[in-house]
Amino acid sequence: MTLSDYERDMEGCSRCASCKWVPFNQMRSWRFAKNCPSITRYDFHAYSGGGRMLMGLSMVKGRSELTDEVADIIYRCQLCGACDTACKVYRDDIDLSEVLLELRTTCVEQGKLIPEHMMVIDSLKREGNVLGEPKAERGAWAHGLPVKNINNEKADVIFHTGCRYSYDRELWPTLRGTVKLLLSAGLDVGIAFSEESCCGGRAYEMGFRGEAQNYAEDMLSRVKASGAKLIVTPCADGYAHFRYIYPRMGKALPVEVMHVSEVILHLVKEGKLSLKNEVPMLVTWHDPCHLGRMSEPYLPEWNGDKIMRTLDRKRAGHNGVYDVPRELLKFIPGVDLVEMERIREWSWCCGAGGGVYEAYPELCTFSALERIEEARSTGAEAMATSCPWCHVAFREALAETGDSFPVYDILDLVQQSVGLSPETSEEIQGGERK
Amino acid sequence: MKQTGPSLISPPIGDEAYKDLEEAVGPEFVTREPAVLDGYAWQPLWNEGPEMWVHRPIAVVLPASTEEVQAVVKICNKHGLKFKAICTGWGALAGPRCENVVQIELRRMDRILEIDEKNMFVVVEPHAIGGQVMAETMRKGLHTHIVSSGAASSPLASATSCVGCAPDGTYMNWSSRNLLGVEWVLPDGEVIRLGTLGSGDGWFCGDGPGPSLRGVLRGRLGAFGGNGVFTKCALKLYNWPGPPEPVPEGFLYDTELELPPHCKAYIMFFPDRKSLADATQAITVEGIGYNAFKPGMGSLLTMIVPHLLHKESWKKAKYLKKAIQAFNYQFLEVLATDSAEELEFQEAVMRDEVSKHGGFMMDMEHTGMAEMIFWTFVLSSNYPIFFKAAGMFITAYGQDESHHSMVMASPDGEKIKQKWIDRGGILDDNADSGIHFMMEESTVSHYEEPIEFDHRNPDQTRTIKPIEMEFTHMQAEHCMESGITSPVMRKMFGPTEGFYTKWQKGIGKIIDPRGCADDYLYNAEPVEGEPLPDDPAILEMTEKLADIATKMAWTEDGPLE
Repeated sequence: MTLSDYERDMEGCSRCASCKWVPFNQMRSWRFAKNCPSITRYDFHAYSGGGRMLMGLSMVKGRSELTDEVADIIYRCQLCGACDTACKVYRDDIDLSEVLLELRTTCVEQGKLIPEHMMVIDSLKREGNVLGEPKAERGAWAHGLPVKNINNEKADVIFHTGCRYSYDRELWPTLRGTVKLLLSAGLDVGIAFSEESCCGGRAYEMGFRGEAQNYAEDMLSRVKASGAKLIVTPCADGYAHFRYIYPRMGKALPVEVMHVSEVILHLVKEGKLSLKNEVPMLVTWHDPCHLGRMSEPYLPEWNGDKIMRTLDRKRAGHNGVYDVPRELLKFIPGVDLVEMERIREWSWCCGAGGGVYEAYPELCTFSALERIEEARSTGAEAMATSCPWCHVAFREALAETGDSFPVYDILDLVQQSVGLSPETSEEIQGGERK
Repeated sequence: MKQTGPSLISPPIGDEAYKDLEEAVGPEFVTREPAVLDGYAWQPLWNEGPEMWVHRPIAVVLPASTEEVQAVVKICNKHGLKFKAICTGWGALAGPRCENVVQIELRRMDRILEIDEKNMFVVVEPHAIGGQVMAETMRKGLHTHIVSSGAASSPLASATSCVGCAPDGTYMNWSSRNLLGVEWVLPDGEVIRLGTLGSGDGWFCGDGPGPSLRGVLRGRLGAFGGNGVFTKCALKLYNWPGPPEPVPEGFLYDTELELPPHCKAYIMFFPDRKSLADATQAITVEGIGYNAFKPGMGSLLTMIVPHLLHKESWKKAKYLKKAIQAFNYQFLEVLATDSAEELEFQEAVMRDEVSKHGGFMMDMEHTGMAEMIFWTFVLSSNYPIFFKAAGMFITAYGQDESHHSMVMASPDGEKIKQKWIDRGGILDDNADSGIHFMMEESTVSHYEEPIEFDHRNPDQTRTIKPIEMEFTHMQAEHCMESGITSPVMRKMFGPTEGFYTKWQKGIGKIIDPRGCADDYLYNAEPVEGEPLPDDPAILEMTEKLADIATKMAWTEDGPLE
């Protein structure tokens, strides 16, 4: 597909402005009524979902050109999908998120690249991750854990760690504790150590489809060779990309993919994990875009006029993962959940997605601080989430402003309740097993 | 006032003017990037086409305060540029309609400045949208009228500049009547404050003791930006007996939230159009209802089964269509009251009037739709659904006259619509979609005939202008006033309505001596010698309209007998 293939979608825009707001039935205050970090920060219509479509339409119609300024606007977007969800309350014939992806690809095809994204792509090519870290150290986080190496052992479950978890040492205690829980529940878990690569989703979002394709093929061949029956990932980004972008590229994985929170909930329900310790805390839940609306599975393109598209063929965010983490929180004794105003399909983005974390840290911080303010407004003592990129966006925004507000991965809360003490950095020794 | 051809792209703004704008609002809040500007030029809604683009603005500015708006307007005066304000941009009425327009995007002026519970008004800036205003006022047991473009639209824009009625008019009247104190940047850059605001007495009254220019600032339909920029206003609030923070599950048809105590939704059916008109007039006179309107069965079909209307089998379903039409004399009443006694009274009045006129009514809880109807109307979240069935809609210009004349005129509207459906130009919604609702305590009724079409299909867009003209002709034949916005039509029909155009023009010359406001939709003269479109349907209707306008024209002494 190309941008031109979505001309009818772009022309479909009635300019009703619904894309800029949470669905109107859910609007609960002046303060938290907006849904899009980009238009909220920059205000020109072009920064909204609808405005981006109209820039695309203008270019497709030959009325304007892709300039550096236009490319810059196209990239200042987390691709969080909130606009798409809001639009689809009323429309069956517009796939806004698809247009935003095509705009990125158009930028790359026309050489409108930005250095920060090029660095990510360069890092991917050299080291197989988006963080510029050495490929050889990708499995270092698992040092000493009794997990299988799927490069030479069969395992039922592939644990795909993802770039951020693999290299962010602050997240390692969460990660290691989670794998211990899976193992303790009897799962046959293997990881690819240094052979694991980025899922490629970030490259896709940045518009580098060829790169993304390579990583999808790499993942596909590794999964096929492993004989595994299930892929489990703690990375919400990876989860969404496996479920949506891989099939969109024609590279659907041949096994089931689950986010680790889904697996943990399953184990709790089966009695294989016991959440017994009190974790007395009033928390609010941040729905990561990639676990929520953006993880909705891919649906093949509708052939013909989308006006006639049936609802079961419309990807509107409803089939993301929303209830699983909430249910899991309910299982943790002492945890009380208080909801923010912008949740589920209309959740506000942390700011890190779509290459914004790498290229536009100021926009990322703006978005993260907005979310923290919303979390605070609930009276919660802490915010829980389940995406390493969200976690990092909040952590860095708070550090930048000298503010503090506890942000937990839901996996941390599970581990506390199980009674698993987090390892200190001294306890976690660097170095790969093999 | 020149339309610049199919592309509607003006020459670029000069560097000096652009630099002045940057200094006025800050460089990051001005743009002249063509692709960004086109985001303001794509305006398919309320665009009679055939192109869906309006004029591309030469620059867009984002002022943050009244002072910055003033500065921008003065710069336009200095450099001989036009300006036009835009809030949420619902429709082509908000876009530039001539060349050399600086679009003043008011998004950064979005605060709710005050909610006065005791005196029941709210003070808003332009970009505080209806959904936000409702959310905040409902917390205090108050509600505000939202125009039928819905929660995304700006209450200030509606109240000051653009029509403004909705099914909530039965309880909360319409935008023009809810406008209190106003802060107004005139087209020459002067700021004027109306009503009590102008005498330093707060926002509570638009009619004095300070200056009262409410009729001048908007008239009946509004000036669509042609009279300057409104930067703050106060709006009346009304009682809201429901919960302070209603949060339904779902977005639209999946809405789930129990009805509040003493609240109901009813649908009533009548044997014929006259019974409908008589009964609903009587019910509204008694002050019954919170939201009330006559939906068309066709409108309901476009919302509920949009796919069906595109199918060949529907076109041939003669008896099904007739059966559906039999239910067309229906009326929806949403009741929101403070007590069981009040609810009982309202229900009793309705039951009495419905029965008296041979109708029957049904509590919508029996249909399972009460919650959805109640909340989507109370929260004004339903209106953009009109885009779903075909991609775009337009309504034959809304008319405001007595309820009987509106309801009884609608068969003529349906005939026009059926004719165009038969020609294959618009979506077949059974041609019975006329919508009515009342305001002004039932003395005025509003009538719109929604026409669904696909604006991406040239065969369909070509039909819209002739359809609108045909409706205008029908309205003239019924002696209704016309919601006319094009200069040619204004010139033609001004003499039929007291030469109002001359008065508007006179006022325009005083408040806009340099002609800087983009007043194409309000006050502009037609361009002499501009060729008419070569569409035979348009030419035919132009002749018919000129003929009827000539017959109805006033003399200088007043209307003809």
